[in-house]
Amino acid sequence: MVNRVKPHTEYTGDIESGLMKMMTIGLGKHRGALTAHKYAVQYGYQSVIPSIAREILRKGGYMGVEVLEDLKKAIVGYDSEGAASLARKAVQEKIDPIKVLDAMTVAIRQVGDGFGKGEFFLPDLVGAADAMSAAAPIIEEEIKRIGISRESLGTVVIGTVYGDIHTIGKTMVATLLTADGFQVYDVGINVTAEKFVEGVKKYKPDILAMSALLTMTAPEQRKVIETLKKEGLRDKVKVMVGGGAITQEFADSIGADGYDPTAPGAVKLARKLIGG
Amino acid sequence: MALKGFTRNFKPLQILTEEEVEAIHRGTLEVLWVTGVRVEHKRALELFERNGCKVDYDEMRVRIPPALVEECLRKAPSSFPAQARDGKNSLMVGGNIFYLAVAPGTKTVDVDTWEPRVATRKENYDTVTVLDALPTVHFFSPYTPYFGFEGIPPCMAMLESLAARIRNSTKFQCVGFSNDSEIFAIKMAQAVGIEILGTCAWAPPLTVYRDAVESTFRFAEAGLPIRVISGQVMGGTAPATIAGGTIANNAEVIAGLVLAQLINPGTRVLVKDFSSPMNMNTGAPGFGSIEACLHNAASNQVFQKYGVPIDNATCYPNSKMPDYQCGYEKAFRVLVAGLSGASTLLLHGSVHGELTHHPLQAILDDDLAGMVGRFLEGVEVNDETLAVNLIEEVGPIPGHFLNKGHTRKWWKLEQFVPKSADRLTYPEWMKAGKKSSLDYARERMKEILATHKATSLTPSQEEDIERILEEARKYYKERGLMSQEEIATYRRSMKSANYPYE
Repeated sequence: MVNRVKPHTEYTGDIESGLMKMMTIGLGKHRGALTAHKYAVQYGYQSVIPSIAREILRKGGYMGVEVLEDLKKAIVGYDSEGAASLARKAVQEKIDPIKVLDAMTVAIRQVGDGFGKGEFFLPDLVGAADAMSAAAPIIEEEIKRIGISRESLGTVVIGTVYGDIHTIGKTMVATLLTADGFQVYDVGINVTAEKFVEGVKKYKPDILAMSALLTMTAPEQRKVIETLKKEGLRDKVKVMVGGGAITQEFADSIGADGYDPTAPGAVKLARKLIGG
Repeated sequence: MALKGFTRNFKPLQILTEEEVEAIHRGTLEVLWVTGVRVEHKRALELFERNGCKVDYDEMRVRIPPALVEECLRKAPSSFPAQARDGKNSLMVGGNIFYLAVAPGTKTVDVDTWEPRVATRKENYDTVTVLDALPTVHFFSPYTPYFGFEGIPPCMAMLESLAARIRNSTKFQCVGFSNDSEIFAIKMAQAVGIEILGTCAWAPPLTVYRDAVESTFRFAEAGLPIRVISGQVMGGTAPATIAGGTIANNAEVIAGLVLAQLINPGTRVLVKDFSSPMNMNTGAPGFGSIEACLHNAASNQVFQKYGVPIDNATCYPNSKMPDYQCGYEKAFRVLVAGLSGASTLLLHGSVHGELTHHPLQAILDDDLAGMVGRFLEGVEVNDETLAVNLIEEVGPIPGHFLNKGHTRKWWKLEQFVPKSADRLTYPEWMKAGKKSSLDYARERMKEILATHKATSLTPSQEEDIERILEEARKYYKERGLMSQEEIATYRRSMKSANYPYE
């Protein structure tokens, strides 16, 4: 059942038309419509339509397409609270959580693609990413609860190195990676080598991604790689580096697996590194 | 007597009404008291608490009462001296004086391809010499001219850069901080009997990390001046609006100013307004934007009310070469800063953002600075300049002014003549080989390098500088901040016969 917005001329109420009316009048066919109209004369549409619709919703088996559409809209429209509450609603309504995650990925990809074409801008990208992060844990929890699994393209731990507080390049890469289907754990800015290693241990990512904008902080990337080696983790994870201070030569000299100067390039690099 | 700098001889540009200035001030006080700032430094938190601030140690959050903010703004001097190696180059910051400084670049740029590359040691030292010779370079900012150069491990970049500037220039110097570099920077300054301006850099929004606070303690306790900077990108780390951005930046730099006054009352503070709108396609700061000019102008007006000198940060261009775009990006920033009452601005040499610097660009900027400086001097009005009697004497055509003593005296006082601009007629220009301003800048650079040399350090001062550098090398080696390979390259680069100059 799909509705479009159509104001009704006959009556006014909090819930007056649209899906509720379609259910009340339309689903019961001729007899249903007659009954509804009869009670409406007696009690008014304002109370009849919601009460009959509520009964149908309680008894009927249905899947709320509108929840998923609204969820997509909430993500594209930076609405974190809305996205979280729609995710909870999707769980309540027992919508297949895999389908919910797919819808969310469609939304974030729409923003990512639009960004690539110059139709969306950074605030749209970051706002959508935030709304997605508000909704995703609710759905992931549900997936865990019912014991199914969803394949991601790969897992990435990302952060800006110690001494460096530049966040934007790192967040751009994180968002575009998410849009592309990676599971991304953003460990933030000013991240010490120890914290990066902790992240690698905790999330067991395919890729560790590090940003450094300053020449002074670039050597921290070397330190992280050295710490990974000491902990015997270096061959467990691919390391990609970026940021204003980084060059291909530098990336090679510290033994990183890849470098790219742009955020979209970083996504291609990540795909290459996981062999996708 | 301090370096003259540029004098603004008229009222500063006021783009805000008094009510708007008051609204920004009130907003700043509200943010500092209600929202507060995050200070990741225990000793600083205790100091704030002892002075009446509300401190949440778990969140490292400090809420500063309005009365303390206003008291500290009064304690910071409205003008202050700063001692250079040559007394003639010392500064007197504040009032209606506008000083310009060198802008840093991570790398140099190849002037044939305009591609960036790491500068050599010789290029770094030669660039300092060129900058020392330029009259509109009033002082050097940190990391100038380059963040580092060939052979230097990153952890030594700050100190090698300062050493080069102390050796090849007698102008006033500033430093940043990185891995305790300020300990050695202060030692170097003391060894040669100069003052240096330190840095307390905030991380917007409303946060300052431990190292920046440590640097503030070290400079304030040593009785040295300090600049408090933030570096907001409007729409990213601050509100997208200029008014909101101004409040956020105010809160950050004023919290830093309060800290400096609590550590050592009367500490000389230069606050910095380093704000740019975000490029919403790339996330890059729009350094060379007109909104940065508006932010500067608004902040300057607010800080005139406070009576605290303000730096308008760096007029970095977004262009990649000294072209039309670079020219207007820089010109707007310098002119607006000067008109609206900035105390200082970093200008010379930046080619693209903070990524590249070149002495040829600095030479071109010297002309731009000269033009703005001339504008700020304004129009001198007295009987002699009004020249009514002279106009009467010359009368209508065929009278003219070229043969008058008044002209001979006054044109040189009134006209600023740029050194690298092409001001030829078409026939002269074609005859001279169609030279551009960049060609003239090349000639001027050659001439400077052939003729200019700053007074050398005494042998014992030179010995001290090298000893302190060696101390720092040992310190960083022990802390594992230099790899074996970096140390080997570094040592090799120091074996040149003409070390430290190449």
